[in-house]
Amino acid sequence: MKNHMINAFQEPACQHNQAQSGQQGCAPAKPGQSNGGCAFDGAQITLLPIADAAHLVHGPLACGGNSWERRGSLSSGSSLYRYGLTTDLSEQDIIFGGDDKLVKSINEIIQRFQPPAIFVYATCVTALIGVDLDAICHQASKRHAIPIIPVNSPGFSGSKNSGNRLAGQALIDYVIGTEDPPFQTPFDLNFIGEYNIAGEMWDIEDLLKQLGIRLLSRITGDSHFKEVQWAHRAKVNMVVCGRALINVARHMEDKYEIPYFEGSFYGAKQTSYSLRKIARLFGDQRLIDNVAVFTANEEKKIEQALKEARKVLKGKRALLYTGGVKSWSVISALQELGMEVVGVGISKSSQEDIVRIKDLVGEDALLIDSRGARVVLETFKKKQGDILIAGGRNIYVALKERIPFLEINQERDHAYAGYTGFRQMARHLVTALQHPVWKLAKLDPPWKE
Amino acid sequence: MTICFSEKKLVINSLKISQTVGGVLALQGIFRSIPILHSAQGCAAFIKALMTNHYRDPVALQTTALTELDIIFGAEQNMIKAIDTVIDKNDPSVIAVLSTALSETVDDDMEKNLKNYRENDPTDLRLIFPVSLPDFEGSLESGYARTVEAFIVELSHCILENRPVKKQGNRVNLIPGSHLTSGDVMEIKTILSDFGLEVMTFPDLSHSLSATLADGYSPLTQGGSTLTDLKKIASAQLTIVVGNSMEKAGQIIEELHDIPYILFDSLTGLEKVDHFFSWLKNFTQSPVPSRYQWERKQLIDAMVDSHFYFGGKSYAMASEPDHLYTLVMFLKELGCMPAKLVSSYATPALKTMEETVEIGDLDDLERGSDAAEFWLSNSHGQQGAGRLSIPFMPIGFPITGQIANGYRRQVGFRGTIELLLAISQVII
Ligand code: SF4
Repeated sequence: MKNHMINAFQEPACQHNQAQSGQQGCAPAKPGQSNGGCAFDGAQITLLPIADAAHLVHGPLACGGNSWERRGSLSSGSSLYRYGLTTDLSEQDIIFGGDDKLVKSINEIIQRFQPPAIFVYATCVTALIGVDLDAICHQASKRHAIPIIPVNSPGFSGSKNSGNRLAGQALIDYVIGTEDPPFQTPFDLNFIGEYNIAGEMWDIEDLLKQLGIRLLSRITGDSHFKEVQWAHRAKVNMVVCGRALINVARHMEDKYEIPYFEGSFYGAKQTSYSLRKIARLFGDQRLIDNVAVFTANEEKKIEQALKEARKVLKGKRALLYTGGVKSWSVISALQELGMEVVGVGISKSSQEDIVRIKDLVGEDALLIDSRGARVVLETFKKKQGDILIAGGRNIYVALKERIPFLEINQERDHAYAGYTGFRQMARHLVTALQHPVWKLAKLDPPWKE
Repeated sequence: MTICFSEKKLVINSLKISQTVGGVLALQGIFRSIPILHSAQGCAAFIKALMTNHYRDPVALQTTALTELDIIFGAEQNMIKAIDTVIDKNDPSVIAVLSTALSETVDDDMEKNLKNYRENDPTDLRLIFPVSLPDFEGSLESGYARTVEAFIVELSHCILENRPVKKQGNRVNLIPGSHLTSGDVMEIKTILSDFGLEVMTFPDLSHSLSATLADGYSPLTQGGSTLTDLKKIASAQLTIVVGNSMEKAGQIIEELHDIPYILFDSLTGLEKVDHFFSWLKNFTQSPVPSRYQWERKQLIDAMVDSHFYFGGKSYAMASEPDHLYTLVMFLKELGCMPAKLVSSYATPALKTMEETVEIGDLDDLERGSDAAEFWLSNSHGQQGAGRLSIPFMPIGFPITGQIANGYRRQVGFRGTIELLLAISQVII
């Protein structure tokens, strides 16, 4: 286990590691003032969207039992990933190590579901009692002749981000490069770190299809296990939005010479930019020209479609608190709609992200460097914000304060990526701001003295 | 003996919810309180997300945020730091430190550590107490019950110091079980006060996790009973306990304060509600208010009108023990028969049931329910019901994809009618 961790955190392309060497990823949580998820949570966010694999949580009930079916990733194929599988360790299991239960659980899963692979997740308790996940998975893998992959990302080892990276490391160590695709095309592309939240990747895939670009491997939104295995045959990698899986892109660049770039599909500008960048990396002039015409067209169309929304949104003051990685991409989308971003949460952003954010928002905006709802609310009031844009955890914080809100993370139900998604986002912003409930909720009862 | 156990090694689609969720829920019914989970930070984040999603309200919860190193060098320091921080920042009236599988595995002696901590500052009057809630025992229901019990013991310490207490003629305590919603608790309180009783409720979810006492956002609970009110429990004539799992809480009050208790295992369905009202009539020597007489007639009318639809229908159900018991009894009145029943852990009350109950998961329910005509469970059961193409109705916790879960009622005549209507909408 230690080895995987060391590899994952020596990633030179990750700013988290450079800025805070000596620590694993982000600063550790503080007792009595923490809200974040654990590394196990992060690992599941990354791997669970592999829809036809079985995902077995080796630990006490709470880890798997309190968290299953909570992610917004959608699948068009298998639904095995929606099964919540856990060894649910008893006190006896914990005393005697739980190995026997794990082995039998793996057998049972194979008998019941015949999955192409099983991911087995370590948790705090199994790490603490010294379960040798690598050895057990290795043995079982040999016996059953399918990949059984240990994911050594116990909760207490770090934050969600570090779990994303450890999961990426598991893909590097056990999955990528172990199969070949049935056929290849000149324009094979991978997405890395795209989780198909609310099905938003389907909108992007549609655009790619129109341009003749094939999405070879989705890492990991709406993927099946095999396609991740053959990801190394792509010609271009795009790391979508977050840097958490940059280690996977780096690895494929080093080992298979696949160029990568980091981009986003939030907002029309960035969607066009990403598509053009993809074309340039393929290096085919015809494709480059096609994409140029296509994106210009799309932008013209959306310009027209957004006219009304822009009138409402112009000058509206937004506070963005996404927990870091996606901030810059969302900021630029909001600005495209004429909104002003008056505050941004940066507690989980890397140095590079922060520089990018500062460039976008200018000197006046406040950067919020601490976690916790209170600070967000204070900043919102100080900056006289009109709408809070944040993760699901903060929805009801905002609603309790009667503040308009737009949800922007893993658990949301709406697709915001690409041109279609951008239109939807604009529509939702307008509805949130103009909703009659804000006036009604502030009314005092007429009989109040 | 009518209980059997799942034969699987692993859990597939868990019905069980960790005890800590029950502990956190219980604390939400006490004003200006906060539970602290003694574990790594992720456990609390999952619980927060799970509960927020169901109740659509902020949930007060903090964590001792154990890391790998803390566990090696002593989890105690984290607990103290967490309590200090919470007091410093938010000044709560009540703090419960909840253990987890992780803190129990490292054998952290919370009881001793908390005692030492309290001795440092004996002038501090707030309640701080530990509850042992390992994941490997019980489920949400037992975690809630244990937390309420621990709270009563702690509260009683500070009441007993201020003895003697004078009993008030019309004052009663109400201890609602974990299967009752905010709407249910509100309904029971209303009924009791319509009979002229003054009620001390704990935990009181009737104005927590929904409309709350205080406006705006706070990291502490914004609703629930206040500590000042709760100190009056010793002056009650009687404790009313709703739900078998809460009986021990009633017993503790009886032992410590010499107040008898009465247990109602269910307040849903004609016979159970009739029993409640006739007891109330005797106890208070007041007539049943006409509003309830009308509601009773409406319930009977609804039962008669719907008997064509319900009669002979078989159903699959999975829920926590008290909830399962309540609904099985009610569905019997509607003429429905269980195809399969699954619950999260074995309790004495389940053993007394005629029907066979399997202790297992939602996969166990799915595998025995081909013949069922409707399916009742929390929202995690929806996928299984979907695979069997059986109409699904969400009950219990967690429920996703619909609003106002906290307000839905199932107790009293009114609540029973609402429940009947909700099920009929799924099956007709
Ligand atoms: S912090 Fe540890 S014990 Fe808690 S949910 Fe995460 S892996 Fe499980």
